[in-house]
Amino acid sequence: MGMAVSAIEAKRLEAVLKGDEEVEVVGTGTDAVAYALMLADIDVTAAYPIRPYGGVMERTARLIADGYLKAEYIVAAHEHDQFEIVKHASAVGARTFVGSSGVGWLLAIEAIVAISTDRYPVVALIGNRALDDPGAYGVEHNDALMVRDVGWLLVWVDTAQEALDTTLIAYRVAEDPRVMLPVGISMDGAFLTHSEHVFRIPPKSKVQKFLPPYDLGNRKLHPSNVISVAPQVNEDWVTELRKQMDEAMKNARRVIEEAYRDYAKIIGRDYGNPFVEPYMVDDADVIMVGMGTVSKPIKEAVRRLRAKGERVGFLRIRWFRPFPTDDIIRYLMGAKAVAVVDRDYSFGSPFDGGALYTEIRSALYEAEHRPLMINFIGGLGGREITYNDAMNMFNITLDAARKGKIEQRVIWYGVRE
Amino acid sequence: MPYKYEQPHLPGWKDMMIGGAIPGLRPNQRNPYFTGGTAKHYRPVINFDKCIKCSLCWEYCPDSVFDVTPDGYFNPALAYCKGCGICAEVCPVPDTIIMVDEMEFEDGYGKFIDEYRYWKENREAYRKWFESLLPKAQIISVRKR
Repeated sequence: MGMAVSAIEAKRLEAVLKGDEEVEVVGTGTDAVAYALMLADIDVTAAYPIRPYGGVMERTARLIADGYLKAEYIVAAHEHDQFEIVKHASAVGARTFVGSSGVGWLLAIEAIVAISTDRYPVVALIGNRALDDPGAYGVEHNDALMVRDVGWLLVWVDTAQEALDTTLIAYRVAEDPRVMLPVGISMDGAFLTHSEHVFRIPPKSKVQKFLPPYDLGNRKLHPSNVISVAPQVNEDWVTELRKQMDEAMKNARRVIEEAYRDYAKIIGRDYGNPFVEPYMVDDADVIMVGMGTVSKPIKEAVRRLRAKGERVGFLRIRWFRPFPTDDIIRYLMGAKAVAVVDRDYSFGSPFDGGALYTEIRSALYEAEHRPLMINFIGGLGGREITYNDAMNMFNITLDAARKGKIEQRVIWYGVRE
Repeated sequence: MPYKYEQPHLPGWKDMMIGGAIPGLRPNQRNPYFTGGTAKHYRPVINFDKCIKCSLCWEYCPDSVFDVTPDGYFNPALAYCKGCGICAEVCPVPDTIIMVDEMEFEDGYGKFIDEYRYWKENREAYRKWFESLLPKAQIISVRKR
């Protein structure tokens, strides 16, 4: 093996590729995704640098250069090129990986939409980043949310371990014949893409039992299977094709559940509810809701408030598309007040709030009991949400729960006047 | 008009291949899965009595709409025609290909007759029908309206 990988790392990679036991390593969130690509044995990846997703490019390039992964590594001219490359590679039967961040992701939007409407199970990493202008490298979720309506499955991860596991699950779900839709894995820029975690890499022998080979069936473009993809169909077909996608997205709920169940059985890591992570919510009067790494300060606040006797909890949303409506209703219906933390904003939305808040409000419309709802717009452009911030947000929400009414629906948390 | 093309069968979402892929087409084969002819505003009508069989309409048609008949005429498969009018523009014989608003036809918008067959079976009726359409035409070969 080459010189780029340390002797210790080389030994561990040999073990997961040839043995039956998982190994523990230290690495960033993007490293974890690259190791998952090695285990999933991807065929083609297209790379174009942009931070904060870029770490996955570097680690994947190293794994290929050192012989741990045999894959075509194509350096694209720009992001639109990147997503076109994987779309076409996927059409000829290659398992593909791609990714970007912020405005880079949006430059590719035409190809991104074609990937889902042509129904190719591409898996992408979105290292969440604020949309320029003004320039900012920090996390904001508006980049990934731009594609919430076009048939991409969207999932937010919280740790490097979850990033690795979710990448393997994403291929399994995306390539299921009942789904055949792309998956976008969102990872908070800097807070997860660049922070080092201890995580475990499962052995490839077990991953192969979990993840069957990519099979496009009669849709594989090949000289022996002459088909035409994406023909001009206009109004005669488009309604039917959108309906087909709708069914696939709805099927994904069942397929996601099956995939997490099999992952627990074969790989041995059980995430419980695949769609949301409930944290001390069962008897909670006040529940905060959020996506991604904001979970850390909020969970810490939950623990300390619980120690003082406050009945508080946290619900972390993993899958945003398909949206976990049933779980949202189940976990939030019993609360007196709910506070949604949005690391994004939807200008001019129904209550001038964040996207997650607006969707959760909609999900609760038909619930038997509708809790009070507060929306915190926080952490924009990569500003940190600390434990103290989480405590303040809880105190505002606990106050509303005690009074039985909210004074301000949407709070721009920490905005300087 | 008595001779109608059969309407194209439009599949349901369960019948379609995932993502709307279709079996590949041979060179010059028209796409039977998406004819597209319902989208046109103007329909070409051919005066076969004046046609000199020069083949320009057949050659220029961007949708390969014209079928060559056994006696060398060019019959438009109207289900595929998008109504662009190039055939009427390139036709070198006056008053031979005309483009007429779809709303002028009693057979209704989006329904298509077989012009050549109608002409073969009843030339006199076809001539009268053509002449009734000529004043309403938007494009007339050789001369512009």
